[in-house]
Amino acid sequence: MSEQHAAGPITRGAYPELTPHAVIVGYFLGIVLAVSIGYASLKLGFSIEGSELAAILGFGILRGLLRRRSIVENNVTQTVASAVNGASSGMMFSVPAIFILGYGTSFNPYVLTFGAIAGAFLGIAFIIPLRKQMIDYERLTYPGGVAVASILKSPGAGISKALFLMIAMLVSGLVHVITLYTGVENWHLFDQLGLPNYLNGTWYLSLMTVGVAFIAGRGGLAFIIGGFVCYWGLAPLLDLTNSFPVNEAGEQITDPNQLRLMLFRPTGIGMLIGGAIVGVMFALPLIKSAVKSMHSSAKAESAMSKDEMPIKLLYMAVVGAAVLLCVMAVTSAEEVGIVRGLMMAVLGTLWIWMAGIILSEAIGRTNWSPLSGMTLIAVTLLIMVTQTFGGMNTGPAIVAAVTVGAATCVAMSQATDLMLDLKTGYLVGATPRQQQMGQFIGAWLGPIVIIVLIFTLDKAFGLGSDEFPAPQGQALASMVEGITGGDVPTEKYVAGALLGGLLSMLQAGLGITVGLGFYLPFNIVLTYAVGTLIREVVDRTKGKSWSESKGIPIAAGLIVGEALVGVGNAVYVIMKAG
Amino acid sequence: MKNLSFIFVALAFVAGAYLTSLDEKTVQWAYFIPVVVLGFIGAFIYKSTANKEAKHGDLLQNNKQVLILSMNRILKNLETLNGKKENIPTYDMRFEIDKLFRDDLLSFADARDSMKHLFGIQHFADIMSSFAAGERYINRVWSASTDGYVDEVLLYVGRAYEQFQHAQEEFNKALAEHS
Repeated sequence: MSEQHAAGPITRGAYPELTPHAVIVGYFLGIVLAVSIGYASLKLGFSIEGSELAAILGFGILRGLLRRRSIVENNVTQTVASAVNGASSGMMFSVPAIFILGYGTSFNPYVLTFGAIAGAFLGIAFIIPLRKQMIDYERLTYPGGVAVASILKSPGAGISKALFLMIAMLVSGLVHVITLYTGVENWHLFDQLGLPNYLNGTWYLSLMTVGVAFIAGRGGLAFIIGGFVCYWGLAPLLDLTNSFPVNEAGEQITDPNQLRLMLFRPTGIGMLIGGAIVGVMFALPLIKSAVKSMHSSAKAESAMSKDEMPIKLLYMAVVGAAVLLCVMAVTSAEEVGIVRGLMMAVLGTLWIWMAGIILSEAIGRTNWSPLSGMTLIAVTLLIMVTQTFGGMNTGPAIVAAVTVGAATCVAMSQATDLMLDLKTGYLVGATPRQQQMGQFIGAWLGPIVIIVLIFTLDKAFGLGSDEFPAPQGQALASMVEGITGGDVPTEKYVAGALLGGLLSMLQAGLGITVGLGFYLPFNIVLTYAVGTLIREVVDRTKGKSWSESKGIPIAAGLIVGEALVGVGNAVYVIMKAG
Repeated sequence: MKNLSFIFVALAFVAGAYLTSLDEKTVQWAYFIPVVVLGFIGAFIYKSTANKEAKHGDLLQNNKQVLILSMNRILKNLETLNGKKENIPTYDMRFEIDKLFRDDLLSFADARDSMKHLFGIQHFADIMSSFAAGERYINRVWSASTDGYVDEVLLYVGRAYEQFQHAQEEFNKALAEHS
């Protein structure tokens, strides 16, 4: 049906969106991403969000190889692929901990996989009604989603914008190659100036971070404030009052990373939770209005209602997945029983909802996701449940908590991934229903791929070994050992929650974003501040429209260039290590 | 009063954060609780002062004008575009969109929070639901124009027009109820 036109071929008929091509390419890319990112995660200890990569690779396959021309079809491919990959970050943080703790033969992999799939569906179902509130009403930025939209729109955005994007990609990629090659990832400015260690004036040399901050704009300001309060406010106060913690040798601890882990991060985790609880209380009328609006447009059968998944189907998905989570909790270990299993399922379901909101707000405003902290809280709460009614033995308690924790972790990962993709979809005009279907179509596959990968690598090398250290799993394992040994900074969580709630009373999301500044390393915050400052200066000198039309493609290029080199390097390191 | 209470909350927050940083595990609740209670009182004063200001300030009236003007312009431009859509080359439609709508869509979105104070949450939700759907349809026209899908471009220009008509109906209904 195509005929040649001066500017390109003109095609009649429907605009391809959720097509077999989109799903098959999405599955292919999703499996490739899940295996490679999952593998890298076990080897190097990092996991990355797959949307940017999926969008670029999908772009290459759909447009380059298959000669298809549809931005929204590319968007669905990216949604399916990143849904499959969602399991890699969700499961690689949690499941290896069971192996590292020595319970690799004590759990049922089928139950875990089944539960992770149920968790994935629960995460998607919970987040769908929040799409309206966070994307349509609050219009959160989702810098990663904006970057992906810039890539998808590049064929039509004009040569100059595409050129900006490409040049920025090259520059950012080159800078990252240099930092990797030289091993200089941080610039220790304050050390060179002779300033105190605790002030933490080390800059993370990452143009991606600058790009993310540029796109987030003022939305990320509170994140910066959180970091500055810790290291340029609290740390000097601790020094003035001689209140730094001391080590076993009686020496004061002033190393910023140790201060973060010991003092600031637990408070930050509490702030994320408290900020979310108060935020939900304030946002509840708006969430109710969003659901009411979905109901009324469904009744009127308007065009808009056909864009959304039927709300009743979502209720069914939530209930069904919660029941599956319950079955999984009961069968995860013999000692769990019906009552504990029910409590774990209810707690897991509620936590998925709450953590989904926290993560969506955090990633929507700053592009950083505190997934590890939310998993830690989930496992802590679940272990607490296992200790009720006489208490389970440590082994089964850990297996049950980490098994259900893995399901909640996958759910949270799916929720943030979908929100990011939906933001991209909004900007390119995709239909939310098609994307949500794409997410459901992709989400079941990831847990199967990842569990096979985990078992294969454990059998071949042993997880936690020198070959596959699984740093994220080790971190969770040591935390679990701490929790079962009664080493939980509960007071700091509670105090942090009150502080986060206080800030969220002033402005929605404030507690979460400031808490994220407490939670993340300050070198990231400092570099992020540069991007925010550049955006502010550019907005004031060149105008907001310049920032939108030229600045954002450049920033998107900075994000994508570094991400591509980062993954390329991970593949190189893995291949080199054999 | 608003600025003062904001500073008060900020100080309470820093003081509270300092008190939580004094030990790895414990918090000195005897100091922490009064500080946080004072902070919450400050936050309550800030919130109520801000709400009063938002309901009566010049900003609200200015934003109301911005909302009315930008909505009218979007609708007028869409009506014109819908009328002549058959005559615009498919690949040129995205340039028309960038030229005709981007600024007004941005202005309306920037001023949208004032609707909560002017009309209440439910009206805000109803208007923004329609507005967001309309904006998404415009974005879809842009994408389809880039890819050369002529039927999709023509279909969604019409749908965007209908959606913004609905958004304006909701807006006018809210305006009439609260005038």
